[in-house]
Amino acid sequence: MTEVIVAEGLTKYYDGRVGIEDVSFSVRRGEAFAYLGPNGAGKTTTIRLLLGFMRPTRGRAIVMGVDTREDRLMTKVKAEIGYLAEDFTLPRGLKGKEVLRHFAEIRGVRSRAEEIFSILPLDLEKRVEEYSKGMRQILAIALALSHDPDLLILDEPTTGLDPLMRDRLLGFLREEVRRGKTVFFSSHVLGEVQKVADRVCLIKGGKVVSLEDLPSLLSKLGKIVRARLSKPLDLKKLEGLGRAELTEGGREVTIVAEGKYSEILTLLAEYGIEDIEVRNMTLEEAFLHIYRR
Amino acid sequence: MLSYISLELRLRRRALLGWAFVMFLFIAITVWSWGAGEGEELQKVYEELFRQLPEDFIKLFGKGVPETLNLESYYVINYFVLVHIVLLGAYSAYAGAGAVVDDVLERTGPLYLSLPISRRRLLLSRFLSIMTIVGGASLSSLIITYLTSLLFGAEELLGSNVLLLHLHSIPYLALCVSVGMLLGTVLPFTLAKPVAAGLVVLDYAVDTMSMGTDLEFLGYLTASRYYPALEVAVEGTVSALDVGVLTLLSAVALFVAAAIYEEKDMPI
Repeated sequence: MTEVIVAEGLTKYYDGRVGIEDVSFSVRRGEAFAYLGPNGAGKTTTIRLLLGFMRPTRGRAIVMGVDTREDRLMTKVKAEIGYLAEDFTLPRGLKGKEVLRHFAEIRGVRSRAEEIFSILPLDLEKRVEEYSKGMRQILAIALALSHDPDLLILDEPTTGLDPLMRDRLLGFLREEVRRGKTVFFSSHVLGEVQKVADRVCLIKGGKVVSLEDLPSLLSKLGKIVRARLSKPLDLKKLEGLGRAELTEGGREVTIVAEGKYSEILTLLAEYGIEDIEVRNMTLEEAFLHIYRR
Repeated sequence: MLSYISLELRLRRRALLGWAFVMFLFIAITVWSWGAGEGEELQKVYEELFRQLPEDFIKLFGKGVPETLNLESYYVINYFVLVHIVLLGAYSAYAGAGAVVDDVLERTGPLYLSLPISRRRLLLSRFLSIMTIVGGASLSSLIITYLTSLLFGAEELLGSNVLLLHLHSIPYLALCVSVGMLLGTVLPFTLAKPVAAGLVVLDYAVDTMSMGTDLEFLGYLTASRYYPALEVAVEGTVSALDVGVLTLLSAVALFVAAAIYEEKDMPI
């Protein structure tokens, strides 16, 4: 089985309102699959359906060979899944180590928690209500990953983490993928996605708008042209070539190239180029470009 | 399952201690006031009060209240009905509903529903953990009753009637928990807990208010009808039929709740 997750026409309506609609994708074993979209796009709904927390209105999801509507089979499969929710509550009144021990006892498996805490340090002697948001997130990450799952489903995994911890977590996830684990994660921090993901699925209004390998997506994203000109640019002349933003009274321009960027350069040359930068679009810029359309 | 129960006990130990303190206050006041009122004096006051109280009030708060009083009936009327049957019953139903809806409302679901435990088993674990807690509350009530009876010289309460009274509360409280769970699975998440708690109060009111009226049949549809606390405390007998009805209904409610819970959308 090379496909760990298969979504086929997955649809969920909430009282007639669209959660997601006809969402189809598959996630291969050993890849990091990023699931991106703005708030309310349907990311969390998809994750709920993948874990069997909710029944699809239409379509189906197969996770590790099991239809998520099959509660009994899904129960077994969950032993191999590590799930981190975007929003969760830890049991109050307990120390971090007690929470860990409790869930390890329920799962009845060896814990990789020590290894995780060597990467993401945490004071386990504190009570969870004394933890900061970032500390709670680290404990939840340890709870999700300490049973060494084959499939990691992570909803905004870096929420609340400082830049150092964020970087370490991303490194850890990359290492997990190298070990053959499959990572399905949602995020809105696109720099992180670029560091970890093999493939990227963009969702908008409950529908998939793009699903590509990351390098292929980036290569298709086009160029960003930023230039300072001797005289103000007439925006009308850019029609059909790209979307532009003007500053400094039209003398500084940033253009998201939609056509051939060589034509843009020719046009800009007519206005006297004082300085110019041409580079590939980042995923973040692409994301904004797609969602503003 | 044991791990789950032990965690619940740890998490709710403060609530349990709070319960024990409330029960201690009520029981101590009840037993002390009987001793301080020297029994006969209190009986006279009671009988006068009984004559003066509006009939509806007596119906509501004194199901099957005898016209003459002894310590056992005084204990049931003064303490047991309010604290044990109504309040602890309401708490049990509230906790039962919370066992389902708190996964969403309190965001505890992501940790528990992603575990390799079926929802049926999870619900059963939660039922047993709540029963351990309310059973603990009932046991502490019994112990406090015995201790205060010794302290205030109220030997009448040291007999087996009070033990039976507390034992009989277990199937009643189990029904409160499982009905709470059932309501948690069928009602909107935000309504389930208050409705479950309110239903226990309503149940008791319907039971007592319908007694001896044309609506007597409604009383037989209530849970508290099958837990005649005053009768148990005064006569020291327990009807196997009552216990059977409570246990059976509890099992049915739990079974149906588990079946619905398995299919329920949990937006966590």
